Amino acid sequence: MTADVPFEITLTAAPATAPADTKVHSAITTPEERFLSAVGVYVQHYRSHLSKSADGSLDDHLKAHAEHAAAAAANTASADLDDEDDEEETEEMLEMDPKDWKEQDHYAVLGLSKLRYRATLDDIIKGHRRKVLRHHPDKKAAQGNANDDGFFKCIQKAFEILTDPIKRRQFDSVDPEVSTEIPNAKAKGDFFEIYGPVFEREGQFSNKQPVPQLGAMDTERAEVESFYEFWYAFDSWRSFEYLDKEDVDGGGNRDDKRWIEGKNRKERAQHKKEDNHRIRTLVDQALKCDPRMAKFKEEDKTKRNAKKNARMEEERKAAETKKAAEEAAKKAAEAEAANAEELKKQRQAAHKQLKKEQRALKVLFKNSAYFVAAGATPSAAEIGAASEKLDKIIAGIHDLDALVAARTGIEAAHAAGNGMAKVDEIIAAL
Amino acid sequence: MAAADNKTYIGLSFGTSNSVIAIINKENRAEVIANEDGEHKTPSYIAFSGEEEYHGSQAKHQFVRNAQNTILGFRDLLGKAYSNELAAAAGAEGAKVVDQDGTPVFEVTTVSEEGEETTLRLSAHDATVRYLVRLHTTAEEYLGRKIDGAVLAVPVWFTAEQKTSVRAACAAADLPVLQLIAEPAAAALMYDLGADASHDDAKDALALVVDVGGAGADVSLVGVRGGLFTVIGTQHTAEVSGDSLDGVLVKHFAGEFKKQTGIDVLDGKHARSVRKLTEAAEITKRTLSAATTAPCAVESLADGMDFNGTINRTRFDILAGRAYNPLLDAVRDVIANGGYTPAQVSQVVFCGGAARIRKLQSKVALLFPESTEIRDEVGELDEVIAAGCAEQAALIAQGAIEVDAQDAAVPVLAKPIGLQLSAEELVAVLQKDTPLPASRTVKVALPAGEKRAYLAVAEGEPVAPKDEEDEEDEEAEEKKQPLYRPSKLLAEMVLELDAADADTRVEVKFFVGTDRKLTIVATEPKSGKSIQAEVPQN
Repeated sequence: MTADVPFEITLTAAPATAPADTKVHSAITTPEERFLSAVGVYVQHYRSHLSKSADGSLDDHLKAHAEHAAAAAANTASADLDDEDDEEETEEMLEMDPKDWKEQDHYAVLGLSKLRYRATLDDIIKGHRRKVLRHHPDKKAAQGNANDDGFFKCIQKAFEILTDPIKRRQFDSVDPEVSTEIPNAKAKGDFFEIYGPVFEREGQFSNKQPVPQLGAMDTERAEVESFYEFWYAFDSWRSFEYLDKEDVDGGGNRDDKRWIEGKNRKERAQHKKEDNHRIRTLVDQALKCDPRMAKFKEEDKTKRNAKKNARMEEERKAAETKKAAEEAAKKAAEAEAANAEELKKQRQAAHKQLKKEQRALKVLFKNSAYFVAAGATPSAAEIGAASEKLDKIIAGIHDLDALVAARTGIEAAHAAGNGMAKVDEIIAAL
Repeated sequence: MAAADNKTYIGLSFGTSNSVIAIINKENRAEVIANEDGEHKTPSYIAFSGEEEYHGSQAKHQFVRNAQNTILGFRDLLGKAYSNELAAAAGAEGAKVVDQDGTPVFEVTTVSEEGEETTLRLSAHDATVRYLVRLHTTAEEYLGRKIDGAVLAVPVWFTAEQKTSVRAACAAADLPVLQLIAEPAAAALMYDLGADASHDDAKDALALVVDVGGAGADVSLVGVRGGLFTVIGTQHTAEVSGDSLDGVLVKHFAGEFKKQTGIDVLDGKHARSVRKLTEAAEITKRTLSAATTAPCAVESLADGMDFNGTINRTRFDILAGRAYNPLLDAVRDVIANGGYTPAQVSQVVFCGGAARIRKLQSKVALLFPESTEIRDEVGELDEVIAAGCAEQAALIAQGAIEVDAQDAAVPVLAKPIGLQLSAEELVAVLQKDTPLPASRTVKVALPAGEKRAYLAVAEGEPVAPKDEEDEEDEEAEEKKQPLYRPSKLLAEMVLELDAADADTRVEVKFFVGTDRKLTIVATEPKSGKSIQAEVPQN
């Protein structure tokens, strides 16, 4: 790069006043500040340079850019020279009649038979340029083959078709070199090796791009499922206009033309239907053969079983707890019942004692002749009054000990001769 | 199709009166795209009619009958506070501008289907967002892809607040801003001023960018030093613009109409007639840039009277002659303020729709000597800035510039530094306004029969242009008129060689670091003899 030499200067002779050696006179005028616009190809180099060191030079960013540009140019150059083409041009191909363009393999004509539908527009343009350089009629004429432009016409036709996106699709749809076979359902071997390329090949027809890949054994389940989902909803642009039969002599009348058109339409629809069916079969078959699906099924089963087992275990546990609880409840009830019984017994015993004591009291009353004066026979009224008092005591005292105390008190008082008074005292205390 | 990692970037010139969208096409070149109406530029108009909202030329077309509901000039209100003068200027045509909490807002009336009137208040920000959303949609529909970012051009004189407002509006319109670049920088980029830095003199250029838009003219002096662009100075004048030139035509045609019918449409009572005439005059003006005569016809201009007139280019040039003066003054001022003379301006480049006018171009060209290149060849002039933005977007996409690189102040040389050949002549090696650090190497030949290389390094100052006769003499001698004469001697060096002939060349490297120290190294490659001088800073 000539950046270092912007222009040439011829020096003038040294004036008489010139010093013999280097002499420094004065410093440069103080720099000003300007706004540097961040546009253009060089700015980035300058900026990065500035931030790196204060000692760089203006030329450095130019150099950096030059290197960058040179590298880029080298890249393009090598891409241009990349002459991997040189596919053999078969005798048969070279002698094709341009009129039979429907039979010709457009990719082969442009030397792209390996790339086929994978060829980019750039590849096609390059291939075309190469072929034209080799087969241009002017060149043929120079070699003495005047009017030999058959293959050139084939090249132009191939270029016309492959650069027109619609025509290219029509050709790709029925490209005879691309197999439309689907693998045998019982084919043995690695599933991914068999089906991977097939799906990749069929993926070219998809309206939706990118097309998910088949993947490998360890592909995530969600991915595999979305793969099959995609293929079951496959939206293909494949069409079959290329196979249309044409009104060869072109002279047919309108009815003929219509008839051919109708027939073509029907055939196209039929082809399309068959193609859709083919894809469907392929996907069905792949799904069936996919070892991953089997794996997922197995996983599902284990999962399901695991779930079931877990559920059963849970149920069992629940039943156990329930049983235990019931038993505990039963035990508690029994204990309570026993308790109640005991209490009842005690109560009955107490009651019995009380009755016994009451009876003893009654006997005491009776034996002490109802506390009338000693030796005297109690009159009916006295007996009645005493009985009344007795009843009052019995009704008044329910506590066994108190009753015993009352009885012993009365007994003692009776022995002392004033039983009636004690009875009255007790009644009064009630 | 800014290809890198599949990002789609566009360039956008968002102007006061028109906006232009440019994309990067398959060949990686800028390409201006058409909007839904099939036009390359979208007028910056928003109109409300009934409950409908119109943008671009649809809005502009109904301006005649729907002025009070048409918003225009909203770009220049961005980031500005309300003031009465501002409101009067902005609301002079189109929708009224009123104060809302210190912000100027446009007031328009929409009418719903039921006939209900609603007053809609839109700030400049709101209007810009609506407008940008529309541009964004246009571009996305054209490309059929989502847009990942845009480079926008703004005038050099935009303040930080105005730039912030533009960014805010873009953000609200979901249009990520990759970079805001100065309009003259975008133009310089499109004119490829700094691209071929390897080419001899092309490395350094001093370009005057004359941008005459619809609403005003900007004159900027752009220094191109080693591929770096610095905006040295800029002047804005609102007096010269597409609109002002339309005004000249309107005045002329109004006079003719008065002669024909006796009706004076400029008497202030015929606002609608004036708008009609302005619309027609704009078309006439455009036609005049291409053809020598152009008609102007308005049906029912005033009181049911039609107007038919023609004008030829010469007539228009005479009418508009004086109208260019403010522009020429601005050109002179910018050059003088930058410390240059017209002779040092290597290129004058035009952009903006109104710069198409031949007379305007030739008037500007007359200010410069013949050595200055006058350029307007990069395509439609009103699309230059948008295209420049797209070029910049392409560079960003390629990764040549980081996203959102900001313009930055850098130290630049205040005077040119070069070799003094005589007391009257200095050859500038490092140009004035070269960003530091700067370095440049030149090859010098020795004077015939000499074995000593005497190098006098000096700062220079521009030489006032000589009159034409002298210039012709210089040309006859095939020698350039010296652009600079030495003003301050910096250093003298002598390189003694053992032998020298006509092919001997001494390489002299000039280097000024950011520490402002000048280093000069002179080397004779064959013998390897070398001397060095360092001029320290004061």
